[in-house]
Amino acid sequence: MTEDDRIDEAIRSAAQSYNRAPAVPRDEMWAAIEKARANSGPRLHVVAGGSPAAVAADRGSRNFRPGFAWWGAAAAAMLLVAAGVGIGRLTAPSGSARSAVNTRASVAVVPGNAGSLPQVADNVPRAEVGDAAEGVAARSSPDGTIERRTGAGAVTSGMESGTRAGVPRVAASGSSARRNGPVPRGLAGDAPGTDTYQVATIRHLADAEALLTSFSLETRDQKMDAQLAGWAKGLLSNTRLLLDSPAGEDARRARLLEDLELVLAQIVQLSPAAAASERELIQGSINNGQVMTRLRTAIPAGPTRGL
Amino acid sequence: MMGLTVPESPRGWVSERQLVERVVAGDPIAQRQLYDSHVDRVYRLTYRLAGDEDLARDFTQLTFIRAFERIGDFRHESSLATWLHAIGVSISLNGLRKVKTARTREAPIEAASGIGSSDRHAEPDLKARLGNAIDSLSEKYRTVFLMHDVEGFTHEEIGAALGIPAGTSKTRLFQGRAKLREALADFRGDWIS
Repeated sequence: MTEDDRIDEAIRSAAQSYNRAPAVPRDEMWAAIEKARANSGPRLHVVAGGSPAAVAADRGSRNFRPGFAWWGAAAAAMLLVAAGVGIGRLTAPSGSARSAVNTRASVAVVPGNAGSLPQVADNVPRAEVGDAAEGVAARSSPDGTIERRTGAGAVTSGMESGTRAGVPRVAASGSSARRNGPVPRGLAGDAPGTDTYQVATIRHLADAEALLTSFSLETRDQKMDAQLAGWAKGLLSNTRLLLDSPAGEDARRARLLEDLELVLAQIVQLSPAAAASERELIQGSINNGQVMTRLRTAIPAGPTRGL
Repeated sequence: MMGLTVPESPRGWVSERQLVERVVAGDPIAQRQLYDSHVDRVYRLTYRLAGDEDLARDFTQLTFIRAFERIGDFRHESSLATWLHAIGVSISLNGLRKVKTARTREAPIEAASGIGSSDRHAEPDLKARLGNAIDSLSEKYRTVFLMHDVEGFTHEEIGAALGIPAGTSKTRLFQGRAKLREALADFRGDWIS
């Protein structure tokens, strides 16, 4: 036995007393479980002081909240319709597929690759992402100022990450290309329901990335914080809907959405007069959870990869 | 743990399958039986991870609520215990991440090392120091260390619960132990002698 083995053994032995559980409150917990399942909507054992643990309980018990089923169904139907329209546009027959390919190729050329013609397949996810990024500005931004700053943020993030380079520029023409272009890879062969949630999730994650990029900008002010809070409120609702939809069944995506939920909730609650330390706390949540990195990984990987 | 949850025995598998079928059918006695069979280990695990009675209760309750919701999806590709532990670990880690903003339990390991390199007579309590060092481990090392070295899960079970290969679990355990040794380096002489 080596020295390290002996030390490991000593540590293992000493660790037995670490967080040793007291007697299991079997009956109490069973009563709470039965109550939760019977009432279809209680909050479980809320931790004293309203600590963030209540959020965890809230997340788990959300499925049991009365009326949520209707609200969730209605929202899911809206998502379904919106995504269905998107998919319909994607899959619409086209007489100018070739021009769409050329469009994609031209917008995907970046400095250093000039003169080369990127493969169509490699550009499809970019166009998809680009369109989603464009959707951020078109649908989610509270006003034009935010939209412009979002765009700047996206460019900045693209500069930081090679895989994101060019995304905002693709967005400029990607949507028109997509409207007339062939069915993007990963969307044609999948089940319609899966496509729906993939498209909705990608759009949502692109929205969230744009918001968090804007939040991270050092040039923001109180007015912008208020705008961001309003923006985050909408995204928070969508995040929760996605979590309770089939999109939340994927463990990795669910973890990302849950972390995103927490960050968005913090941004929503941020008052315009909040101290810098509060913003730093939120930024810390973003950094510690590597939320931006995970969002960027999820988005440019395309509809079927990375999600 | 009761025999019906032991997967090694063919009879155990059958019993477990029958139990699941009864739970899916809505048999309340079967539901309580399932709960009684697994609650101790699930609670112990969530308590190890959370270190807080209220949180451990929350996580355990949510584990079983979610399990009863999704028991129809259980395909017996793993043992019921492994499936439950996967739910429990997932709920616990997600919950703890949300709590993390209020707690600073993930201080850098260097901080623990710094404490460790100070005069050990200033803080002679090994268990307290070890607790701090474990708290200071990042989530991936801490979870594997607690599940394997403290709760006795196999790497295969840990892999199934965390969605990682067993080899990754071994690697994380190796690295986690190394970080703990480093953080507790000033006790080294006592342990070796």
